[in-house]
Amino acid sequence: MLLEADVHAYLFLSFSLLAVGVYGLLSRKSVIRMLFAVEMIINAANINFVIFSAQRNVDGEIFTFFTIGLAALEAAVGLAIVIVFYKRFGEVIPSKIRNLRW
Amino acid sequence: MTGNVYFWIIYAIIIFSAIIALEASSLLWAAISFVVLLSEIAIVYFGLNMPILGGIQLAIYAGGVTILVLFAIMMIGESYKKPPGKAVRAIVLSLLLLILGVTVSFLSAIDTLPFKTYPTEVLGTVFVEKYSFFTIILGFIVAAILYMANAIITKKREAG
Repeated sequence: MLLEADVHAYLFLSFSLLAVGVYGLLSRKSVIRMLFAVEMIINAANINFVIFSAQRNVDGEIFTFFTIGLAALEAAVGLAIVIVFYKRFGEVIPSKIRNLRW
Repeated sequence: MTGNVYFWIIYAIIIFSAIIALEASSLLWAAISFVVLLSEIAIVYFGLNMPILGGIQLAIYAGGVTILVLFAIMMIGESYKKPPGKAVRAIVLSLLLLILGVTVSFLSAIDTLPFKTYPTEVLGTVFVEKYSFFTIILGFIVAAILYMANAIITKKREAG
């Protein structure tokens, strides 16, 4: 295998990515950067699925297929809402997105 | 926690590009760094002998989602302002999360079974036998979310 590492090293990678994602989600004000942070958290979860799948069976790999599909869908809907919000209000501030309620 | 030099190089690139994606002052450079992050995660999948998953990661994430993000950046432009104050709390919280996660993973009974390689036939067989039903539910979820987004936009248009 090209990447020789034990499961703890891969979990360290996963938790590091999760920590960076949580930092971005809590500290950024830009919606697109918050979307990046959410995608990082989802990818950290995917790495966990994949690592345990590589040790045991293929179920985690299949779950990752579903997760990637749902994450792409979430990005599409999120960016559509951002663009609609920008067209309506001329700026995108996350704390004001509650204005989308009717 | 052992790994060869390739693993730690890829680890460094992933974490560095993740930080750059959040910290770069230009959103375009942030998007490019995000592509690098997703491509390196695909390399991790390839390195674990999961070529189909790596290919899907490259096609959907590094291809599709990135094009969507670039399209959004093109539409709304740069409106980035450094937020004051909250960064220190976020750094402390994320470091605590990292330390907690790594500690729990070491203290838990996670064994170090050898990694196995599954042929594509096994992947397809398990998918058809156990999970093909979920593709139907996933289709309904996709349709429901798109319908909801359409309803929100239409309602706001009527109200405005």
